[in-house]
Amino acid sequence: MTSEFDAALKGFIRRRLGDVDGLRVEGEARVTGGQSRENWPFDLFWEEGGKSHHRRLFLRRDPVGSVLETDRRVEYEVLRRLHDQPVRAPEVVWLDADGSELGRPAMVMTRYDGHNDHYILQGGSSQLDEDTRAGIASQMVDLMIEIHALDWKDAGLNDVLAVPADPAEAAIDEWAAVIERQSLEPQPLLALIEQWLRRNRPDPGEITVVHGDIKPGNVLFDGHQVQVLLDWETVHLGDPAEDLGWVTNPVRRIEHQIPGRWEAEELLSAYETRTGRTVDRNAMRFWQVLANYKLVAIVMTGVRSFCDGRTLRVWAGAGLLGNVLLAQTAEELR
Amino acid sequence: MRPTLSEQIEGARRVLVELAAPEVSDPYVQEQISFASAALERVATRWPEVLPDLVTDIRALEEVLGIEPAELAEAVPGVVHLAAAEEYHRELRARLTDEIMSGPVPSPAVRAYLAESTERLK
Repeated sequence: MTSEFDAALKGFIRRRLGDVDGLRVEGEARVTGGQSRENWPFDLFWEEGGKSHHRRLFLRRDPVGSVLETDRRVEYEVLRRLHDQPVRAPEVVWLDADGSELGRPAMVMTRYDGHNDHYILQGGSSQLDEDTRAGIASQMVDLMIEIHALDWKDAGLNDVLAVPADPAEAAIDEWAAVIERQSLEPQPLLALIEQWLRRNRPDPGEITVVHGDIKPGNVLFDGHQVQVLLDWETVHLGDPAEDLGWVTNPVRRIEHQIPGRWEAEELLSAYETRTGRTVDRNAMRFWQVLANYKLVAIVMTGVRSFCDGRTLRVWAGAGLLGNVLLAQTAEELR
Repeated sequence: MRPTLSEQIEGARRVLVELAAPEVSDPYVQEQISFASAALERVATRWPEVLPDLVTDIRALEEVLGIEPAELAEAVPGVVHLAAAEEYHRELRARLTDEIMSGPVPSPAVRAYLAESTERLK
């Protein structure tokens, strides 16, 4: 960390811990991997009540230019309410909602042991055998089911998250607004996709918590076990099929599937068997298109950050996703 | 003229990849260098095609919108003015966007144009 940031972090912590002795922050370098947030693992030491304390923590701060512009306060409040719920979500510790203390909005979370392996199901850095990988894929479904089974009213999530009357319409509106806000030029292809989505949206059904970005890349693994799901910045209330569309999106196959062993149909069948829900395959197509529409919105946000000079990451356009979206919507459903 | 612009861009890319990157240990910086390198590689091969592809796309847009081909402003006799062509292209794409948003299900010709255009301009 830079000395300026280190001092800001120490001040932030001191304002929360009070006048404790021996406050020490041992930081590591900013870790790579998160596209939308800056991630800083650090260790905190202090003396209080005659005892030495040590906490392993993780700071996530909004970058100057991101691919997702979400509200840290919402994510923090959701995670705070989930702490006592039966779901593997990280424990949040402190929040700087407006960035007045740490330069930009940030939150501090408990740091967990474990490793992250974005492409673990295809081999990734872990290089596990196929049976072990299939076991992890199955655990990823359990993780999703855990989220969809949450009693969001009991957890008080409706105090923080909007309850949509029509989840599909709300999802289209949300990402169309992002595209409208972030696009630097007219987007006829995305206009066509938006119209397709509006014509083909499924009827409203059950409302659950939707994580919005379930993937091995957002999970910490303890050995071969899914330990905790990080990165809840797109959490919302909506149609559980949205998460299923996200993980069965053909473009993301490499992250979620094992060819010939655990493909989209196996994933959906496992979800149906374990939940007793029936997954409408036509609706699944809608949510897969929505998943790529959302990805394009994320790319557009990155492109805008780059063109505005707010990020050093050099972005290319979303041409590949455009072609996929055209292919996915080639035949009208109704 | 040698080195051509493509050769100069490729040279700059090699400085990044062969000289700068090995000296960097921060994985975040390494990641940014790899994105920058990929961009330079793309620009080195793509830039000579930008203007002809833009003109092709303008003509395809005019056809799908059912309007007569416009006379494009020239930078020097016989060479289309890039900035003017980009502005006209933007106007046509805005017009197509409005038609899609306000009209019925777009025709197969619109889909065909969008598929070809996405390939051409990516």
